[in-house]
Amino acid sequence: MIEKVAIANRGEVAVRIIRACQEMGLETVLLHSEADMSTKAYRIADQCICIGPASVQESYLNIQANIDGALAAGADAIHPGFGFLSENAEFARACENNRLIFVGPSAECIELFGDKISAKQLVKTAGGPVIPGYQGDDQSFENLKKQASQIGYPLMVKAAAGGGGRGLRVVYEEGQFESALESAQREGLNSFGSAQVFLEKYLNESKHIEVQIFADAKGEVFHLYDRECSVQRRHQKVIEEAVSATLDENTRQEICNTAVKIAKQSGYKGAGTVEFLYEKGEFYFLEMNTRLQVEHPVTELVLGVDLVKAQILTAQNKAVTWKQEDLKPRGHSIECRLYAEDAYNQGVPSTGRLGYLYWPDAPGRRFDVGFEINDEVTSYYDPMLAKVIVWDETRPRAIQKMIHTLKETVVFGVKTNIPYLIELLSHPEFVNGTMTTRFIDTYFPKGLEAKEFSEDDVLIAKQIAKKIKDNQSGTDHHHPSPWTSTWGES
Amino acid sequence: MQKLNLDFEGENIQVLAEKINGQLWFYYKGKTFCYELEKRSSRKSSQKDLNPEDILAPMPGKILKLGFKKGDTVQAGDVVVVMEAMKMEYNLEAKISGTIEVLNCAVNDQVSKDQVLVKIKEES
Repeated sequence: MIEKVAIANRGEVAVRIIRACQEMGLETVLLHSEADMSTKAYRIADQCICIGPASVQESYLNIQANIDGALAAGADAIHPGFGFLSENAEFARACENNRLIFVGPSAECIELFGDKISAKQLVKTAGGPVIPGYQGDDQSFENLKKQASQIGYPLMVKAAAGGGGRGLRVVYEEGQFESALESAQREGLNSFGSAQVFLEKYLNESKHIEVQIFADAKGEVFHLYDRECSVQRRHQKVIEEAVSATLDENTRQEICNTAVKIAKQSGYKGAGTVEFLYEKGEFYFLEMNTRLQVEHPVTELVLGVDLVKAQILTAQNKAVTWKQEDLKPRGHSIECRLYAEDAYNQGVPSTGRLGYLYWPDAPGRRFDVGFEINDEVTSYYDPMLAKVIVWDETRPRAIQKMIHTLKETVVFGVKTNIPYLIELLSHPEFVNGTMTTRFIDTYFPKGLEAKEFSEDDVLIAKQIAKKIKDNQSGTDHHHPSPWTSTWGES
Repeated sequence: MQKLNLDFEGENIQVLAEKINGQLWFYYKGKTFCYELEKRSSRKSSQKDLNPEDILAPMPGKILKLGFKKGDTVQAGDVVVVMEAMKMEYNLEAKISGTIEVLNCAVNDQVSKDQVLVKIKEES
């Protein structure tokens, strides 16, 4: 039986999990680093245990520290959120060995999908489509070159042990193959200790479409329809939506059924996401994420489900109450990731104290946030400030609602990507829904071209500065406002 | 945070404003601005422009890759340093063409904001 859940994460997802547990009558303990004591999750958790210094290696990625913290608090289960240890089989196993329920699939499942080659093999067995390629052991130049011409150009050379875009080369024509191969092998050897590569057809006009699946405690596997996340920058998703705007119903049914088959074949448990690339009417398996996804709220809003509660129920060995035939997407939902970065300076991260925050609430608007006023955004962690999620009856209305919501959102103290998001949302190719994963590279290669200040903006800034100064000297003797006492001029 | 009413060219404009660490943050008509108020910070930013031969770390972070060695010739726009900050990679480019006179960092170094990483001597 679960009475207390440890949260091995931070930020908005920690808040999301704590609230879900509390609503289910469960106690929570936040396992946090020294740098995260001034955050929303720290304030709302029933209990907090510091597991290490700011550096993620010593805290959020430290398996033993997390286990020790959970045991010290007397927790029965650990929710890993996403990122950090959420897809670490060793962590899942350590939980099991310490009689802590890991909220997620088995360590074996995490391992199976974590290895790119075994995952592809499983998908093939389940009858799913994989990107044509070569993953064999014969790494001789002659063989690789032969395989490459069979796959056809353009193709990708990928270091088998690579990740995060390193050890990856796109080859557009045969003449470039030799040098690209050498450089991928060299980078693989230098960065990951292995020169082994595999080859894959390069899909350069594809959409990123993924299917949310859920396998409950009684072995029933549901699909919760698709999401589209084609708007990506440096392989990082920026805008996500449910459901995909351009997928026809037959294809939708087909990929959803394929995703269910893959989950069944692997003996999956809990929430998972099967990612596909979709190009010219064909879809190809990309990878399976064995955890809750950052963009899970868009699925929740179109289906009226709570994925985190479903995860907890599954950990409690209870079935969910859904019926597949009742799960029907309604309306349209969009999520924007709000990053602390300078939209006018190529997205350089921005840090500082959040002097003021305003989230413009209204029906169909959801704000998943990990910070409150006066909290500090530090450079230790990912620069995501919040997720802004909207729902409306149609996609055009959801886009309109998102633009309005972002314009009404106020963040003082760190710069944000709000102006950039508004440009992306307003672009004709996003509006008509035909964007591919090359959307940002094609239309926004240098970020925002616009200037931050117009002449009027500068004049207004000067007027405000003067007014604030005047107000300050005028109000000093009766009731000084809080900022006067904090920021008063010397 | 303060709510202010401004009279701008005959139009009444409502703004939200707050001063944080010498910067004036304000919001009006759907946009947020960060305006440098104090001499200290404006001198700092103009110094960056005055020294185009320097490559500064825009953020605290880690050096991932150096594209050149001391004494190498670089062209304006060449990526000299790749650094990682907040889990993202940034390319730092040479603003002028010349030779690398000072290389003040190595791969895996942790560097602080505005630290001078590279000095380039302009070709004469």
